[in-house]
Amino acid sequence: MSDSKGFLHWLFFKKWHPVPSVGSTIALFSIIGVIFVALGIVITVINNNIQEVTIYKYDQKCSPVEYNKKCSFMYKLDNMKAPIYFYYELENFYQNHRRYVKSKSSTQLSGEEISLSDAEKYCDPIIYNKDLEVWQQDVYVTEQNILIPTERKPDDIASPCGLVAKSFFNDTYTLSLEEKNIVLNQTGISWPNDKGKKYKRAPNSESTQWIDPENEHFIVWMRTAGLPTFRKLWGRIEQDLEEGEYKFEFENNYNPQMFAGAKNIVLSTSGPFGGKNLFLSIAFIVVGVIQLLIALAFLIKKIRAGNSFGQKNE
Amino acid sequence: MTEIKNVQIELHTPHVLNSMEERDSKNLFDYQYDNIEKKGNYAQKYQSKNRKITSNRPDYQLPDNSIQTSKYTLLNFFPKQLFEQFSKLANVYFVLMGALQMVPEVSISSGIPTIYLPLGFIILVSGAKDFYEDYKRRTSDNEENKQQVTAFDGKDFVKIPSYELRVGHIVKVNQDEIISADMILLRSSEKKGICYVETKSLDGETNLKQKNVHVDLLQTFKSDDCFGQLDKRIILKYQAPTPYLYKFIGETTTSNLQVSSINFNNFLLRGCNLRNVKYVFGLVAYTGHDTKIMMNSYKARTKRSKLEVKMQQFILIIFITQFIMCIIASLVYSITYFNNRQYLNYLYIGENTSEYTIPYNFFVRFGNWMLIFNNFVPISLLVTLEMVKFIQGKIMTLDEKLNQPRVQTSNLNEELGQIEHIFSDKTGTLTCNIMEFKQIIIGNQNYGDILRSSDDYIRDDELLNYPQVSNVDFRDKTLMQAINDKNHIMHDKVEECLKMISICHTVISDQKDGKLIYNATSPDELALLNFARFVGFEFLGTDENNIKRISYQEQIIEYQLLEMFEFTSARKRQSILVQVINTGDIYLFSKGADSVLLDQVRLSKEELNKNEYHQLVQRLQEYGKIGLRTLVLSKRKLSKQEYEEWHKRYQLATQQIENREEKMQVLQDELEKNYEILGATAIEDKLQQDVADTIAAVKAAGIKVWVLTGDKIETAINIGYSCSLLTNNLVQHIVDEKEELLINERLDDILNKIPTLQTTQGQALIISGDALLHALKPDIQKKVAEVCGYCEVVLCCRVSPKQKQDVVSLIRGRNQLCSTLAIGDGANDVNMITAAHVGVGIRGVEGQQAARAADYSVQEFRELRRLLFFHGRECYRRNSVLVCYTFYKNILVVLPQFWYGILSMYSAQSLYDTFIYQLFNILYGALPIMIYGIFDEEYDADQLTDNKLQNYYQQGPQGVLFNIQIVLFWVFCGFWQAAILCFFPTYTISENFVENSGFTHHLWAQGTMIFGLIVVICNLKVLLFSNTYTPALLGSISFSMISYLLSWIILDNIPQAEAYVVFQSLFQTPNFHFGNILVIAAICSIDIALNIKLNRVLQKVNQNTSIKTPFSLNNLSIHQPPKIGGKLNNKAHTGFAFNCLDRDELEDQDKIDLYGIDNQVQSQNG
Repeated sequence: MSDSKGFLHWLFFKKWHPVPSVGSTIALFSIIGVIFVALGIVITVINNNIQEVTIYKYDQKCSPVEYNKKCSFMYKLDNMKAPIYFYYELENFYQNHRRYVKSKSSTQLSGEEISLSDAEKYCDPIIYNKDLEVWQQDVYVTEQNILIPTERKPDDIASPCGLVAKSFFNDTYTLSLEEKNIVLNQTGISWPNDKGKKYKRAPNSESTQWIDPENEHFIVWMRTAGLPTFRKLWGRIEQDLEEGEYKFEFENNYNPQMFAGAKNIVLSTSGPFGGKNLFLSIAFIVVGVIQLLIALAFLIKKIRAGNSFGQKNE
Repeated sequence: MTEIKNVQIELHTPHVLNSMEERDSKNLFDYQYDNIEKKGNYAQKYQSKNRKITSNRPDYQLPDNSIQTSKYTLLNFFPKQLFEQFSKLANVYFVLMGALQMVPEVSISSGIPTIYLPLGFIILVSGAKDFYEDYKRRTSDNEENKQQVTAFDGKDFVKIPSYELRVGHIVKVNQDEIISADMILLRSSEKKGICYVETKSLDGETNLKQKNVHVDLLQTFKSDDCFGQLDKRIILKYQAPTPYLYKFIGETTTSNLQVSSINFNNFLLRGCNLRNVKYVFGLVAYTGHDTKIMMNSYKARTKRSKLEVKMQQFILIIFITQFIMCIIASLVYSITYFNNRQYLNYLYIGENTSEYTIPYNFFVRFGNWMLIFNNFVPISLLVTLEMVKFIQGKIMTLDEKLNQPRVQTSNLNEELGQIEHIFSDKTGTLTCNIMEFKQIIIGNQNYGDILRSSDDYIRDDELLNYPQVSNVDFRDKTLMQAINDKNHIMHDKVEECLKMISICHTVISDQKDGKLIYNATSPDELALLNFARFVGFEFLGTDENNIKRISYQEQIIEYQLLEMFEFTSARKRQSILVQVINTGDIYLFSKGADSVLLDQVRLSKEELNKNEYHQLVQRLQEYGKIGLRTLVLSKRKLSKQEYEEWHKRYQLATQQIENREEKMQVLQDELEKNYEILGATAIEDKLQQDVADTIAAVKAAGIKVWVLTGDKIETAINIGYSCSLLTNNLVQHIVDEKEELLINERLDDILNKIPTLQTTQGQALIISGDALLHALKPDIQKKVAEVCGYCEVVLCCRVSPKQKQDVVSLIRGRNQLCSTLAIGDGANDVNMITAAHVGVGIRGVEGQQAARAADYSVQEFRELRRLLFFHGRECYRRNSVLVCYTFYKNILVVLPQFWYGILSMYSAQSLYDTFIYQLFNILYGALPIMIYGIFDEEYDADQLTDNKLQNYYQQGPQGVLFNIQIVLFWVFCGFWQAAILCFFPTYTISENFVENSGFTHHLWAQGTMIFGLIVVICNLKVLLFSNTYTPALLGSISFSMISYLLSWIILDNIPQAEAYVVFQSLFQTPNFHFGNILVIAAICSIDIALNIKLNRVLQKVNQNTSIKTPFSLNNLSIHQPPKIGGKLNNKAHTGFAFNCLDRDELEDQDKIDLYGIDNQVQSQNG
């Protein structure tokens, strides 16, 4: 047939009529169901082997709670294996709000100058230096997160402008055990390629920008989270932690009251598939069970209806 | 309307020019034309005033003879087209959405109206289609307008193009030419002023109609070149244009002040063909759009399929849903924002700005949400559906098992799968329009019923030894033996009978190229005469002295024609009184219905019970059952005295003025008695191939078949039998009354009777056109519709094109959901074809008008079966799925964003890259469903065409595959799947980080994953519901997914894009892959389970309604004994039918049309 009419005929008229039998459908469902339940169990086991420590509302642990001050608290940790990831977690912060998400200029962040009209278009309502937070108006935050006082004209276009940049999370942390400082590696915490490509320093960065866009904490912050409760990587501990009372020292700059939320610290070790994910383990088991139930339903029907079940219209 | 009626009455009054002034007036012809109203639209201006014209003085104020059926001109195409496009609600909606996209506060596509691209495409495509169609119409108009006609320019006859003709022109029409305007007959090349026209294109009847020059005009125009003479001028006063095909009222005044009234018999209609006379002259009375045929033509409406109409409703519902969801979303947002505004400082909304208030937030978010939901009302659906249908149409035309069908309205493909009613023309559609002589009974001997294997069968090669004639299919040698062998027992009887056949008729013979040609108004007579010729009795002709000659075995027998009693449908017989010149014997020969002639047989009661007579009756019944048309032949010998005595009285009667007709009839009846039966003939109105099978199959599939024909009741019933539409176990209800009251009673009667009948018995209604005229009046209409509802079969006889249309409209009006299909081949079917949901034209001998007006055209009736059962059914199934799937697909892509609103405060944050989002319906989700829509096949084509294993067709008329439940099911699937698609990926990756680096994913990674899964699920879904997998389908699915991958890879490398490097990072994340597997498995497995459930429900619906009367219709074959029942109206059917020029009916036309007017008025009011 295809000889006489060639490729096109083969393409459109070569037909297969796959009619799955009831037996094979039941078999398929049960096999997949079993695999899923098994996977779910495996993931649960892995999850249980991951250590995750959340220090809720760490800012409340200082007394009195004061902002823009250094503060410290003690927290008991178990043995943890390196690498240990150090996150800050914000609750009830809608980084995925439409107005918030779109308020930034990709062009500006990649190191180019933008016109006023572009700034108005993309960064509204934070356009000028004077629209920034007070602490941001006369400093330059370097790549290493060091603040250098500088002066900029309040009516210049803020760089970086926009809501996301303005709400930059600026708490800093140090961690020590019995006065022995534990290194929190703050490099390599952003996705490779972001730094230097999507986020690039402008030519006269120090005089025109209030923060170096290549600052990795900034890059991490700029990647807006998809959920109102989110974690962002702050540093990596590349040594195993022993059990003990650890001293967490932090600069309490960011006020969670403005979003009626909380800021937490999360320390987590990693498994073969990354961090703990309760959702996946439960979902796999549930979906697997559903499939097994469907297979069972078919089986019962098949037994009840005899041969006629599943015979397609014949 | 009342005005026109008054005028008609005025014209009816005797026309004598009384006043002396007028009589003396030399200036009779010296007046100003005043045939038009000064103001008003076309109809008011030209069609409201009665006209008065002078021959040879064209009225240039009246419109010329050009016709225009095209809608547009080059100038008005653009504005008109634009208007039409934007009168579609959908288009307006999309324009508004585009406008919304340009409002910066609201836009989600940075102010670019992206929707205008697909919208522009749609408008362009449909505009181009319209343009092309209109162009075709324009060319055919031009062709017709430029046809050359011979008109008199005052001195000479010159050729001018048809459109230049004006009212008042004198035109010469040659034989076989088409008459190009409505005109009154002035002169014919035939001495008596007779001419014949074929009105096929008007009413579909193929027999010729006789027209004659009015006697007074015959006197006036005595030569062919007298038209220029001043004293030969005439004045014609006549009514304003009307659409009534059989009506013309007018009067002529000649220069010698003779006034004569002109009626329909002197009137030639545009579109008829002139036959049998060399030429005629006519005075143009109506031109162009005022002609009867044009006023009877209806503009083709744009047809939309039921599926499409429903689809529009669902789109509206979906739009309302969208509207409500957007309102909910924006309300939730604005209220949440207002309550939490002090905790949302990071949004920096100034307290004094309008953004702080609930209404502003509400409206801006509402705009945002509307744009996000943009795809919810699927713009792509219209394009996809249109394209798929177009290609489906193309594939239909390529079907090798159909004979090059043409698809003119591919819009209706799926409607073919939902037909509940078929209205079929008879002539040329069911029948070939060929009468074939089949059998003859002489005495108690039957000739012609012979098996092919028999020795007496005339084989094809032997056939060459016989005279070559048409319309005869007679292969029985025994008859020849009886003729040739003088000693044969049957010889004398056979000879007498055949002689009778060859002289008892009204056929005119003619010599053409040395050959004898018969001009018959009746196809039956032609078949009879050709049969006589075939067996050696050749009718030579009638000369001026009314001597009929036949040649038989090298001798010529002459008959003096004494009297001719014409055939009328009341008399049901035709008789001829002749004297054999050689012997002086006088005979009365009659042929006609058995019911009439057998009653008048000269036999005693005992003889009637004799075997011979019984055999004849039984034979006739057998013929009737298989649909042969029978005529009984009889003779009566008269003595000379008897004749002369009768002749005197007859002469007297013909000279009477009062009651002439009746008196003549009485005298005729006196003679037509005491017959001796010679025999009977059986003629087959030849059916097209497989008509009976096709009708049986169509009926078995639950489709009602109605036959609408211009033929008489008897003919229609005959055809009903021969194509197995009617059987003896159907109860026939015949409604043939001509008065409203009687019809009403008859219908009541039938309605009362029906419940008393056995439920197993089917009903058939046979209704004549005259009865139909009344029956279609609003108050009776309901009853008719009710009766029709009970009837399996309805035959409508003697219906005009307008009535055919009315019948279709009646059914359409009664049940809005019922799909109708009209099939026909002639111009008289055009109205019906345009009125029905689907019009199918047969490209046959009767020209192309029907095929051109139709939505589909085929070569033969039987192709309908494949067209409906395979193409229609499959198109309905595929297109239903296509529409549902498109709804589903768009819900799937839109709704995750709505669900995501729960996590983003309903702030209308979109999850997808704008660019990618726009490409969804073009690249990632378009092709597979199109391939499905074009190529998917549930069952084998032949199995479906057969439709015997199971009634596969039934799902269409039942609307099982596309209704609110099904759509809701798909929408429901869209909703839950969208929820899974939103939340599973979100929690899979946003809760987590990637191993060895600790990175977390952001909003855009999440969106990318969701979108990717949507693309996969959409495409897999096509795979799930496809019945057949072709390489193209698999290829297109792969293409969609790969093109998505490719576009992400491109986007991945653009730093400015939000989704920069997202793809790369996702692929590094194991949970991304786990999530994908999880989502795909969860959705597919639940979906499969639900669909198996759904299919079983559908299957149950199908089984409940499967074939009612499975194909037991084979028992119609001749050899089976007749079934009980059917005693009510039909004593066994004997098959009488005779097609002939019918004087009675011509005279009835006037009456009929008065009813027509009433009907028209009412339908206009209603």
